[in-house]
Amino acid sequence: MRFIIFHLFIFLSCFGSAQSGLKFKPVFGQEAVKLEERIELDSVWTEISALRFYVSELKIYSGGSIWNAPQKHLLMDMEDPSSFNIDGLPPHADSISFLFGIDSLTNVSGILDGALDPINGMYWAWNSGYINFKLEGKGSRSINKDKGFEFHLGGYLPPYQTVQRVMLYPVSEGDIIVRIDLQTFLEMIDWNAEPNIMIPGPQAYRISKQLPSLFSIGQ
Amino acid sequence: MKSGYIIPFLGICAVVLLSFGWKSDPIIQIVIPKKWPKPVYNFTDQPISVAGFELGRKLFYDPILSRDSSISCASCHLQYTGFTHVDHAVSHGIEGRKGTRNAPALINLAWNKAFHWDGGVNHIEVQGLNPIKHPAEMGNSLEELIKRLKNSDHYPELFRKAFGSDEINTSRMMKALTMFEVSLVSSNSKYDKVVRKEKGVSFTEQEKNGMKIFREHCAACHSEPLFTNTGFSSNGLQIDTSIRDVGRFAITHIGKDSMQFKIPTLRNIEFTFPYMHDGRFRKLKDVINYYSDGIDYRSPYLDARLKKPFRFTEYEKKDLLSFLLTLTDKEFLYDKRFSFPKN
Repeated sequence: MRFIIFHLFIFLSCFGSAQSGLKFKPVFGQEAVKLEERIELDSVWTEISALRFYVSELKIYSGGSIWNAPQKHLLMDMEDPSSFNIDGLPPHADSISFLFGIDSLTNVSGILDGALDPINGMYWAWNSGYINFKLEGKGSRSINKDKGFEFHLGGYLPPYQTVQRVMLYPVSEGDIIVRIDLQTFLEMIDWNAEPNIMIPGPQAYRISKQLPSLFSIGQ
Repeated sequence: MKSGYIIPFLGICAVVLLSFGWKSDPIIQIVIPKKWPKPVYNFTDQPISVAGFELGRKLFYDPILSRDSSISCASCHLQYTGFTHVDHAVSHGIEGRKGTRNAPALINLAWNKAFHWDGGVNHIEVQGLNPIKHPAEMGNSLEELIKRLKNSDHYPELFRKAFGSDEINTSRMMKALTMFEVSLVSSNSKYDKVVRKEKGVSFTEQEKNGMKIFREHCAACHSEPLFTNTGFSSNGLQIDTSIRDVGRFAITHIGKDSMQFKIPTLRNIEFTFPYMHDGRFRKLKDVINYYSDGIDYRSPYLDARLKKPFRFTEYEKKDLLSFLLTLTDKEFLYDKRFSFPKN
C-alpha cells in the first residue's frame, strides 16, 4: 500500500512539474490594480471600472517545439479574474507570442461563438469588428465632467489596423506572470483632447501601435 | 441481366440522396437565376434549412426583439414595399424615436458584401445586431433578448428544430435571421421575364427606350442584373446640416469616401419610396429630375460618372420611369413564404 502511495506521489509530482501556468496581471506601475480602487500617484488619481481585452493565437516556444493555447481567442476580463489564468503550458518557455486583439480575418467572418460572441460587449454593431481593448474608469486628468474615461480600441480596416503582435522572453522557469501596465497606457493619452476613444480610426491606430509596450514579464 | 438494373437503380438512389443533401433536415434550394453573378453568401457551405428559415422568419416578425416589445424587423421592412418602410423618410424606433437614415430595401441580400448606407457592416450575419442594439431602433441588449428567447414557451423548440439542440445564443439567432434574409431573392420582374425571353412578355416601345437611357446613364452604378454594383458613390446630394451624415467616411476615415453612400438596388423601386439615404425624395420622378437637372456640380465629392449633366427631355424622363417600373416583382412582394408567419 505504502509502495503504491509512494509511486502515486512520484507520478503526481512529475505530472505537476511537467506543466506550468501563465497569468495576466493588470498593474499600475509596480502596484497590482483592483477594480473600483483609487490609485494615487503624484496627486494624479485613477480608478479602473472595467478592463477587458483579447489575447489571440497564444504560443509558447520551448526548445524546438511550439505550444498553442487550446482556444484561438481568449477574452481577458477583470470582472472574471479566472479569465486571466491559462493552464497546461510546457514547463519551460523560451518565448511567448500572442496577438493583442483580433486578426482581420476573424473580423470579417460573420457571427461567432464563445469568447467572440458579441454578447460579451466587445463588438461594434454599427461598424463590424471587435474591440481589442476596453478600459473604462475615472481619473483626475479626464476633462469629462464626471472625470470618466472610456477607451475602446479596435479596427481592422487598412490603413488603421490595430491588432498587435507581442513577444515576451521569460527569464525564469515555472509559472509566468505577464504584466499589463495600465499606467503606461494612460500616459499615452492626450488628456486634453481624447478622454474617450470609441471608434476605429487614426486615434485608435496611433495608440494601438504602442500597446505592446504595456506588456512585460513580471512577478 | 439483373445487374444491368442495379447500377442505374443505385444511381437514382444516389441522386435522390444527394438532392436532399444527405441530411435529415430538409434544405431550401435557393435558385441562383441564370447569368447572375455568384452570390457573396455561400449557399453550399451554409445551406438554408427549412427549420432555420422558419425560425429566422419568426424572429424577423417578432417584436420581442425590441426593448419594449413594440417593433419587429418588419416594422421598418414591410414585404409589400420591398421590405422597406414605405412613406417614412427615416427609420422609426421604439418610443417614437427617429433614426437618421432611410430603412433600406431587403432584396437579393445574398449578393451584398457590405450592409447599411455606409457599408459599416461587413457580413450579413452581424447586420441585425445594429438595429437590435441601436437606441433609436430596437434599443435592446443581447443579454435581455437571449434571456427572453430562452424563457419563451416556443423558441427553445424552434431552436432545437433548427440547430439540433435547444441552446439559444447570439450566433444561432443571427444565423437563423440570416437564413430568412438571404432567401429574399427577387428575380421575377417584367424585366427578368423579358431578359429570359419568356413567352408573351415584351417591353413596350417606351420601356425599351427607357432601358436604352438607363443603360447609357445609370447602369454603371445600378448594374444589371442586381441593379447595383454593390459599391459606394457620392451623388452630390447636399449634406443635411442637422444630421451631418458624412456616409462611408465615418467608417473608413479616408477622405475620398466622404459623402459616399451605398448604391442601392433599384429592384422594386416603384414601391420603396421615399428615396435616397435620408429619404429626401418622395417620388421616383423627383429622383429622375434630381439626376437630370438637380445635381450641384460644385459638390466636392461628386462621382466622376455624374459630372456630365444628363439633361433628359420630358419624354426621356417618362421613358426611363416606365423602364424602372418593369423592375417590380409582384411574385416577390406577395410571396407567402416571406410573409408574417401564421403559426
